[in-house]
Amino acid sequence: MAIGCLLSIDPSRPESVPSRAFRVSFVRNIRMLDVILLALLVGLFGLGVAYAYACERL
Amino acid sequence: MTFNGILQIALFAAIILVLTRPLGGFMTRVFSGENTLFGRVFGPVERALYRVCGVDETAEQHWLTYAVAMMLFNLVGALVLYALMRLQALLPFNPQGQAAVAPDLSFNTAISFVTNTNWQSYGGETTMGYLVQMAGLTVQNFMSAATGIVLALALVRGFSRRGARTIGNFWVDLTRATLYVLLPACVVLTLFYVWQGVPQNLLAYTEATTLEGAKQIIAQGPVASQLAVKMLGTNGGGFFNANSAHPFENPNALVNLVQMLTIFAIGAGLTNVFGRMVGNERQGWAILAAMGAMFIVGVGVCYWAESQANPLYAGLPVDQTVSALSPGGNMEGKEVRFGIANTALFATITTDASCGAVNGWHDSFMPLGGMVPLVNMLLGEVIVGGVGAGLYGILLMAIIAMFVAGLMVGRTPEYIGKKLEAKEVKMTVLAILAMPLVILVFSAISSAIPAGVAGIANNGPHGFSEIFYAFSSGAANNGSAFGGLSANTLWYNVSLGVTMFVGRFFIIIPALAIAGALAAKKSVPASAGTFPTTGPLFVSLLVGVILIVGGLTYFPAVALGPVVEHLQMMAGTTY
Repeated sequence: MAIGCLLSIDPSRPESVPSRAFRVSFVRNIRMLDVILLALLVGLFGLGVAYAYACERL
Repeated sequence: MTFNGILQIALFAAIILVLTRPLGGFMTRVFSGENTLFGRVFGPVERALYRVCGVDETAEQHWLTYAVAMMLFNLVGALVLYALMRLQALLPFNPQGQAAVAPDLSFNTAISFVTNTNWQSYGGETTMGYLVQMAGLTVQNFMSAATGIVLALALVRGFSRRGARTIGNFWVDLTRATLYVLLPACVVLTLFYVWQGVPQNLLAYTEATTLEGAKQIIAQGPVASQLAVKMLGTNGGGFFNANSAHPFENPNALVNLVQMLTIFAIGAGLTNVFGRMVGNERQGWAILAAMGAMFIVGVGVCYWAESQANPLYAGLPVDQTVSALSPGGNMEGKEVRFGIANTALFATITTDASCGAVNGWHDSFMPLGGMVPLVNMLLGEVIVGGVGAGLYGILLMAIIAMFVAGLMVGRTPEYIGKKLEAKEVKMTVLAILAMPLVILVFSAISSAIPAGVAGIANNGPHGFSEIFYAFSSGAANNGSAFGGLSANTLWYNVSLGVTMFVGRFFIIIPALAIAGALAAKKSVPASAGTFPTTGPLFVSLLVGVILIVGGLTYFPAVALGPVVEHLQMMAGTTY
């Protein structure tokens, strides 16, 4: 399941109690999203530094 | 339009003009390392900070070192903010027990506040605890504003120095901007706001019983301290979801005026700093004149558009005429306390600068009225602009203007005694291309994919305007929301995060490269063939270049949004 589908769950919508397997999968996916987004954040700043060096050479 | 409304707009402009020179003189002394009023108080703090952080205040940096220091500082700020939001539920000062902020929203918000955008895909009082509001968001309000100021200074030093390899020390500039400019002003403003009725406490929200017997939760918290820097630092991120339309965040007309003045104060003062540092104050006044001309036109169009009766209400029992009891015109989405003039003025100021605070609902403006904030952002927010960002933005435009002037007369272009050669023009073009790249590409993608279209509340051109406005606001580091777009989704949180990053740093870095290149050059003495840059001809050329660059780049997209919506409205169709 795509991460976006998990995140698009509306918290105000009444839901049946999720199974333990679902909860474990959800937490794991959220953690994976943390890793992906933190990597993207650091990567963007890394790109910025690389861009600065490229500007120096231009 | 009423005489009273025009008078209030004129009063605002007059106060800014009066403030510009003293503020410029003060900031010039601060950044030249001279002693100031606050030297005795903050001098020991400043020196202690340098000792603790191992900063040699006499050591200056090459532009590349300056840029890398700035990037690393902002990266650490973003990571700390991200961690604070993700761990919020475990941290103190959270009396409402706000849950951990979702990863994609944390990503978006971290970039948003580090880049001085303060785009908020969340409602402040329902999402953030007090620790995140104070130690996360407010701290970044200071740091991102100080970062903008020091980067403008670095570019100004590029013009003012001759044969130098360095453009200043990032850590020293950042410390001085925070300690001597932002902090003292914010202490005074916070006390003023508390006096006027803005809450400043750490209490849990109050549960009140209404006259009908219903229960109502009244949100409060450390609002005043965040409000002060929110406006002065052109951040704009509200403590409350309703931002400066909330009575606790903007209690009366006096606070409204002070908020508007503080949005423009530092940006206007920096034009004077520029003039003083390059040795000719008239250079700064010429820049401010160009900004002022565009400001007057913008606020005039917005105020006029909002004062018009909505033709779609014809035949309905809606009174849109000016009378002793009604301001007339389009009052939808406006606070009755502020009326049309002060809402149009606030909307124009907040998007001229990169503030993004709102005291009305831009989504409810008439199509042409809503077009003004949009166009202000698309022009690069060079009309006073964000603290620092406005000055370096318009100086980049000035480089293009002088390049065009040089091409017209067949001379090597020069500005403030510096020859503008291939390096400067290439860097300027790179900086100018960053915004349209992310705005147009992401707007196009979001208008086509289900994840993008799912967020809009209206069809047709108005729905497109909602998407286009969001990416324009993100790329221009404004942060105001048009409204109507549900942006707290994975797609919008990530795409807007990337947009804000590119809109900030992919302009700053080429601007610093220009600063480094200019600082290394010798000064060229003015001759009979030098284009004067302190007169009306230069001001007209600069305004023309800004309008042409913005117009050529964005006109088709603007035509698809507010222009089509206006024509459809005149034909009796609404969305």
